[in-house]
Amino acid sequence: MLIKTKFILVGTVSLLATILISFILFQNTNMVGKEIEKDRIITEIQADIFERAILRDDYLLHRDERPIIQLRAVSKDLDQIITQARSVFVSADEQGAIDLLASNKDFNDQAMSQIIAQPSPELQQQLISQILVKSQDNIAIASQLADTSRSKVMGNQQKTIFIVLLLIAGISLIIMAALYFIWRSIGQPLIGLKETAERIAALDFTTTTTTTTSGGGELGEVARVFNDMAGKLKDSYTSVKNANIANQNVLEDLSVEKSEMGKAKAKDEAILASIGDGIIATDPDRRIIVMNKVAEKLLGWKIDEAIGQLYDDIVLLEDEKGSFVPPEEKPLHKAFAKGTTTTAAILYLVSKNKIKFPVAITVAPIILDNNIIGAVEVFRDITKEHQVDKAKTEFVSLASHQLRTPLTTVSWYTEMILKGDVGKVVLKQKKYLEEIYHGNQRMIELVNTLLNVSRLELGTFKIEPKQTDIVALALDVLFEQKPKVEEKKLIVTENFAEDVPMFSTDPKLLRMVFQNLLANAVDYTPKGGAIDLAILWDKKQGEIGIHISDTGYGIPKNQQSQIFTKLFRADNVKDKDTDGTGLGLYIVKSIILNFGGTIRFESEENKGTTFYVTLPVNGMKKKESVT
Amino acid sequence: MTNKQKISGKKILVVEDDAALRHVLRDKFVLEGFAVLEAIDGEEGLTSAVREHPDLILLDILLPKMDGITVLKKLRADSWGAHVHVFMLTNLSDNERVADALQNDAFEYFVKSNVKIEDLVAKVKEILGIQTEPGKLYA
Repeated sequence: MLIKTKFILVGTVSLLATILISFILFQNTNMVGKEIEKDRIITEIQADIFERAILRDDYLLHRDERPIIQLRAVSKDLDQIITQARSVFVSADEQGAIDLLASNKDFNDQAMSQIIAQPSPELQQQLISQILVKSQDNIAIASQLADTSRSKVMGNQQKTIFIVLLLIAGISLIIMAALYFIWRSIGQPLIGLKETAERIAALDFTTTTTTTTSGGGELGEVARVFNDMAGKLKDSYTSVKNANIANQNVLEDLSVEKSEMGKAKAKDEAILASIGDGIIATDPDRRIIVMNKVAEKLLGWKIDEAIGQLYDDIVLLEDEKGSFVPPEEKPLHKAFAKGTTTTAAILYLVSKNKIKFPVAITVAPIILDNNIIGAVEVFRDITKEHQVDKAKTEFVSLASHQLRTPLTTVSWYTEMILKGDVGKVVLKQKKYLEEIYHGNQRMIELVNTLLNVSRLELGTFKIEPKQTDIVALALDVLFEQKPKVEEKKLIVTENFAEDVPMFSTDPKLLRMVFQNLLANAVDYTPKGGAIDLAILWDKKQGEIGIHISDTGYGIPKNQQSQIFTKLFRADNVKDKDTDGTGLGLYIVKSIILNFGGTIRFESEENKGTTFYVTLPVNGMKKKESVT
Repeated sequence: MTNKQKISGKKILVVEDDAALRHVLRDKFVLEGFAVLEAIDGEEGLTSAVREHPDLILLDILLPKMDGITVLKKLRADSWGAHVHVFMLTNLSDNERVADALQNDAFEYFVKSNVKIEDLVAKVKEILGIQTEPGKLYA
């Protein structure tokens, strides 16, 4: 049964016992009170009887009025007392005794009245003796009453003591029993639990005995819960132990890793310090986290000054026009925005000391798990490259000028002579002069071609898009070929689509394309051959198509792959015509590719060749040159 | 000199530092009936132009003392020079120079090695409104 129940039981019993004892004690007290009252009454009765006797004697002696009056008072008092006694002495015997007492007293009163009335002395004597007897009788009765009550009291008291002792013994037993049960229900299990707890503290996870756990009640619950806890603690302890071992291992591994990383870091730092380009790395907030010595030198900022600063505050860029580059236009920002490597070669860096120089910048974002966690920028002072480029371009310009001037001299002077402006020329002289003139023209053409090639390679060609009528342009170039066409008696056909639109392109460069392709067709087709020029418009693709076909020498299959390479001339024409430079198609391809178009051809030796060119109609952007 | 009609009053100024080219130009234009003035550098060309007020100037770009583009600019700043016909002659292939020249209102631009002297004369005549005489034969 539950401890709770036991406690309730014990409590109830104790309570009852207490009530019982209290009741008994109350009774006892009551009784004692009653006896004291009885005692008082008896004493008072006795006192009154004696006082009446004395007063009677007093009267008899002196025959005064005074004792009679007092006697009456005492009698009245005695009456009252007797009445009180009747209510106090309740048993039958006692009531009988009191009645007798009362009647004796009444007789004495009557007798006294008779005496007062002064009867004969013999009657008086008789009365006095009767009074005496009755008075003594009453004294005896009173004593008897006193004795009886006293013996009753003593008897009760003994009984009471006996009962109380019995009860106390009973209660003690109950208490002992209760304590024993408590010991059994609580004490023992608690000791068991305490032992278990001690064991757990000593890391021994064996559980408590089954008798306790199988027992009912609250402690049985506690014991079971305790066992549960012991079990779980055991598991917990084991897993913590295992985790600790694992952690130890990890720590050891980490330690090894750390030293490896330390070595790697030292190596990286050494490499970084010795790279010849400036390096800046930023975090996603554009704050500089790494910088090397070269960057320090180029930027004019000390490494520890720059670390932690915003990239845009340290790296100031201008474009070639000298206008400040806003942050979103910088390669770093573009790398972050697009997540791809970005390069810029036409920017100028303005260092802390306001020194401006051209830089080539490459920025690559650092991507980890699909997140951009930073960016690395490599930049290089390309002043030298710029100077070299500039020198190259100037050289080409100058060279072209220097080469062309003597060529012009020969050309004009020969022209003048041939015209007869400086004197008559005989036919033979004329022929010779014409050869000189033609030879010179070839030189001029060669110089022009070389100039174009070098400008293409240097990127100095500016693409200046203008709205162009391609058909008109083609016809114009075709017209230039008219003399040769007529000389070789070639049949030229034209096929122009009706709806070829005007489009934005560089007419200067497009002219070169037509010039080269048409000249090739004319030059490499034998007498009486045919040439066709077609210009088409593909609306769906937004492309203009140019087809130039001839019935000429064709290109041998095994050499077709090389036809666009610089200075290449196929074998079959090298013998026939020593004139070509091998640069024309190279130039054409460069220009077409620059336009964003395509070029291909089909050819069969001694049958003919057709070149196919496509040009996109939109999206030709103005291309600036490098210098 | 020749049996050509004298083109009265038409003066040409040739500004060219290369002697051979300058001479042949002079000879040709004289043959064609023009009065020809010569200048061997940019400075001389400018002063000559402003002083003599030719009807047309043949102006080379690469010149000593003052290059052709600068001469052109200064010429155009002058009240008379602002309207004079100028042909830029050069052997440079620089696109930028071409742009410069045309921006400053040169009327024509020729690459010397690519042009025939005959065509040059025809253009000059065209711009000055001189009729080319048909059927003139040269010996």
